[in-house]
Amino acid sequence: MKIGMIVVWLCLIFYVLFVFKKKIISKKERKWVFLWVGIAFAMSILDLFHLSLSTVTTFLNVTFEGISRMVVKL
Amino acid sequence: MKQKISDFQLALLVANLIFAGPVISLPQIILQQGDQNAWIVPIIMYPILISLIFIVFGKNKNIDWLQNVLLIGSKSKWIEKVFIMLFLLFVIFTIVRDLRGMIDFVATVLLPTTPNDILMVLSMLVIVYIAISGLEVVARVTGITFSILFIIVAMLPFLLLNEWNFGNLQPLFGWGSIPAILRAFYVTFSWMGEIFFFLIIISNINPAKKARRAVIIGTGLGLFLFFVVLFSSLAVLGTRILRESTYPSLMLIQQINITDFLDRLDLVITVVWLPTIFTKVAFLLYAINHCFSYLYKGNTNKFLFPIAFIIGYLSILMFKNTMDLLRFSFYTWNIIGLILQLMLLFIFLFVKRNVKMRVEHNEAKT
Repeated sequence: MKIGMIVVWLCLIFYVLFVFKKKIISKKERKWVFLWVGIAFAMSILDLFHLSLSTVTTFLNVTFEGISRMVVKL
Repeated sequence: MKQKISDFQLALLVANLIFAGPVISLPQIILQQGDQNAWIVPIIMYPILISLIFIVFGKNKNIDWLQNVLLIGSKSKWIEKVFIMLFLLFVIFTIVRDLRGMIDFVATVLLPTTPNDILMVLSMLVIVYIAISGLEVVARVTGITFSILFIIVAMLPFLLLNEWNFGNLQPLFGWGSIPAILRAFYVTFSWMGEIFFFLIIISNINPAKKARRAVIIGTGLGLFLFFVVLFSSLAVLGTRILRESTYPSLMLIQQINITDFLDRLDLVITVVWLPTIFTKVAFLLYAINHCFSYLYKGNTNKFLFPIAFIIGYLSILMFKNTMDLLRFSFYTWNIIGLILQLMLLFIFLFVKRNVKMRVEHNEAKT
């Protein structure tokens, strides 16, 4: 386990406890809390297994970089 | 209650937007493209940005619409939602790029043995604390950090006076250097176009009448500092060294050599410089929160904490390494940023027209 991931998980657990204990959110809003915490949790897992999301960046680079490279000096 | 910021705070926010992030590594590509005449780029940029600001604000006579643009919880038309979605995309790209740039800079220069994810988590905890406190806090923190940075950067040419070599600035521009300057201008535009982030807080400015002037002054301040950094870098280091350097601004401040015992002033300057990047990212996080609040039609502060971590992880996962980030920032972002900014500007004119009509309709009703 990475130290960064442990810190993030602890932060997220404290956040969920805080939000529920202090009743900051209504029942309707609970799903949003779980959604965002779930995504953050999933991304920490991706980082743990070094599963990069660079496909997005690679796609953008392949699509748009060519236009820039036509303009600029390499 | 709607938070308000003064025209002075807006000016500093705008200046911080166009100086804090780009100054990390943008001078490298500008100097690579523009050679020894690249320092002229901020000067050419200013009138163009001013004309765009005039297009956004229009005449300063009837400015009531400004208080009613993109209000959270108000009725919204589809064009406003499209604007917010595009704006969200623009902000996410920028925050991911700037955050990763800052993390890489700290990991390379200051804390080489600290893992990236720890740097991200610690940075995000500070940033989310500032952003969650609201626009007024972001503006005040920016006011403090940017003022100190402004003084230091304005002093840079004098601190480096003993290192100047005017030969580095020659030959001065002629007709032959126009293509190089245009290339440097193209590379710079999408970064300087980040002044348009002020559009999301346009209704929070008090007094509204001074908003246009504040944005113009802020743009001028940011570009002036950028000009100082570019000109000093060229005069001190020259294009040959700068085009090979990943962090040219750091290299520049490392050249400060006032006395024999004050030879590590670069650390002091970096300590002043990093908080301005933090405040810029905090403002961008606030902007993301504002966009979500607008779409949600309510306050989304309570969700900002996990969202901040998602953004932080995106900044780590979207780029494999520093070279990947630089490739995206220097080549891909130019065209994506340009397209997004022009689209936002175009759509904002329709949003403005809608808001004006709504205000007139309400006035006629009363």
